[in-house]
Amino acid sequence: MNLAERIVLGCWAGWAAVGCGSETDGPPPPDAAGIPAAFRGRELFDAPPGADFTLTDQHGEPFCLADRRGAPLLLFFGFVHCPQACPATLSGWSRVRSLLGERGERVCFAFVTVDPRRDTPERLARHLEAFGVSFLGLTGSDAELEAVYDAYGIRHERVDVDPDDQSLGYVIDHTTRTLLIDARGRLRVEHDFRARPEDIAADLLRLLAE
Amino acid sequence: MEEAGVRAILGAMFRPWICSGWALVLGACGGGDGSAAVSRADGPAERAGANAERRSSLRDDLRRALGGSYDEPLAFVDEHLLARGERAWELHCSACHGLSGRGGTTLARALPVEPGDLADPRRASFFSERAKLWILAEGSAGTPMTGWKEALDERMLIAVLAHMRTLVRPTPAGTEEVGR
Repeated sequence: MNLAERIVLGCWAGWAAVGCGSETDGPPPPDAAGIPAAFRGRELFDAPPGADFTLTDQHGEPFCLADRRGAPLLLFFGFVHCPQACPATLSGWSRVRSLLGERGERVCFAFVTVDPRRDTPERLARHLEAFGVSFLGLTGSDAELEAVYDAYGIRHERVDVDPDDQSLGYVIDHTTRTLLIDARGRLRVEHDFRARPEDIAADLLRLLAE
Repeated sequence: MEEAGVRAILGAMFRPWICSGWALVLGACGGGDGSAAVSRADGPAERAGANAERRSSLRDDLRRALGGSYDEPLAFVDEHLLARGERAWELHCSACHGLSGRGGTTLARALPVEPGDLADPRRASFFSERAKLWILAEGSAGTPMTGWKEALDERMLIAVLAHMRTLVRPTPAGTEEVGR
């Protein structure tokens, strides 16, 4: 199996992990205020708390998840040089942010690196600004990040493109789901990276209306 | 050419530029073209106009920053290195730019700023080779094109650039290149 196939397989594995049949075939009708009647992503019915953590954002400022309670938050784990799932997710987030309009100003979009060696704060800042000026890029020490990965069940594995030639670099197989955390800090919904921005936006509207 | 010879030439031509020009270019370009990032909400004409403006601004910045080295040719790349560049292109670049360099992939169409047709000879000649190498290394602010200097070493960046040259379609007879 070549690397490109592995990347695709990794993405699909991530997709399967979040439940490939989890998203509804057709969205339920919205109420009078435009709020959908049910979540369109995979709802986590036991609503576990989103594990708290403190990392560093792309501007060098500490980011504490607990401090962000009071509004929904999207959480994704990826890396800047990702050839597929990460740019697709960030592009989707741009669309989500646009769909939410002013209501989206309260929503936090947080991208946690799984490649802290290459994803410096400066690189995160320059990369994210193309997708959304308010998107957060989070990094930290290996120990800090590993604790966050463990808490959210994020798998990541470095794959050298060519073990005999490091000059071709590496990619990272990783979990590709976007997690939606509600205003009370509870992990509520998961979306696959192929999710429609309209569905993520609808779920955020539901969380904003709670 | 012997591998050691290629390494020596690349080292001589590229490393001083990396060391001395990097901060200078960053200072010149920081934010210089970021304002031209275009929203998908804009129409095709607005997007094309803003992207052209961004590229022109970046080229001006790079000309100032690189000075006399802007038009210096890059090192010769042998067949082995060219093959490595093609492999790197397939793995790291083709999702957005397409194997052919023409863009138009599913991912490309979803990006906030869609990659252009890098196989278009007029577009390919818009930047000098050294300017393109800088963009490969540092990225293009305001677009999803990230810099690759942390991921690929300098030889591989030149190899990718060499592969990109092979993707460019022949210039139609009677047309002139835009210039660099």
